[in-house]
Amino acid sequence: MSSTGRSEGERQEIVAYLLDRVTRFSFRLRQIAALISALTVLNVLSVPMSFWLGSEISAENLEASTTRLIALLWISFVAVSVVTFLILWDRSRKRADAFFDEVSDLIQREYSRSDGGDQRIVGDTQLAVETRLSLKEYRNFRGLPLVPGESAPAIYFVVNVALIVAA
Amino acid sequence: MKPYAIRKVVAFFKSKNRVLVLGSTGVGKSELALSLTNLLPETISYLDRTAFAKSDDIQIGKKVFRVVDTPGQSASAADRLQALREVSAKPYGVINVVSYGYHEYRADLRTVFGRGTSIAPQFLSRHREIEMEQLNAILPQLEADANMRWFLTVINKADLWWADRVNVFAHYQTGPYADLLSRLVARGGLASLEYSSVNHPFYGKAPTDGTFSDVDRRRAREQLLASMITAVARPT
Repeated sequence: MSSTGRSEGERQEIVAYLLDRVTRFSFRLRQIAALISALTVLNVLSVPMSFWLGSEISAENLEASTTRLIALLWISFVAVSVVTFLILWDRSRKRADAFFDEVSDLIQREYSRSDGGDQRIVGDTQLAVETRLSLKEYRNFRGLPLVPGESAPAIYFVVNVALIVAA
Repeated sequence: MKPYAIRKVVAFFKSKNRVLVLGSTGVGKSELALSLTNLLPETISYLDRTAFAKSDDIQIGKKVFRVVDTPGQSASAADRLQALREVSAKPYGVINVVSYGYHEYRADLRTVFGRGTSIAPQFLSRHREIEMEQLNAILPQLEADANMRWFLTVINKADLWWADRVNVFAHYQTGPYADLLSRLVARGGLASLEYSSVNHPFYGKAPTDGTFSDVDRRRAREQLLASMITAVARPT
């Protein structure tokens, strides 16, 4: 048993489990993020189209006004969907961050042990390299595409709410 | 004193002096970044830590600094390099925060204190090694980077080691740490400054040594701020 009270096998199992969760969350976050950005782009492009349809509206052209109404409903529906996905994405990211923190802390504790720690976790073994790669990958993809920085979710939210208002 | 919002707006339009804050996890980088603008920052719990690099614009005198706080965990080495790559697009300075091994993070407290309440010497010596390992890992990039203009070592948590300052300064100014930094001597500005962002017991348990008063803390802060202003004013 080590100074941390767990056997090396147990620690490796914990790392493998946490790593699996980080990888799954990372994949899920990327999927939701891609959906959020694609739907937002689609929605932004839909707005000029709805204006163009609006220019055709007249008392005799009922078909055009129906089409525009459908366009406006579509914009609102997509914007509400994006906001829902943003909430889902934010919740998933918070959970993923918790797993990321755990792995990172565990590695730090091993690394800072005076005996050099468990080399299967902090050395150059397959598990250690996979761990570092997964953490790096998560770090690179934990944001939203197209808008960098911590304010990206807020920007997506504001854009989509603005689209609903405009619609 | 201008309100916070006005200072932020003014800072937004001024040119920024970039500062990269490096150091191992638990040395007090984020607390130090907070204390640059706030004499009495709120104590950050050792359970909270910076997981991803983040930047903030702060005004010191008439200068505006873009301070990039980096995560210090060993698993975040790639993040630190990425932060360095982003900062180094323009001239910048480095503040390397160390604390003579007094690192506070989510460590196993049995390794920090052993069986008693006094701090285990192995914990401190291992963490002094970690300070150097981490610096050594990024030193080749700093050495090769012409945009790196100044380098300051801030020895944080003086409230914990001030009584032993002869040994502490010897370690950082003439000991193995200084040997490591000798590769950067050509850049100048390799000062080591004592500092204490906020006086508090180590892990909330081991008391401060009582010799570093609030007056010392204020003086150390003014010394650091003056050093930063001097460093950016120095002709290149």
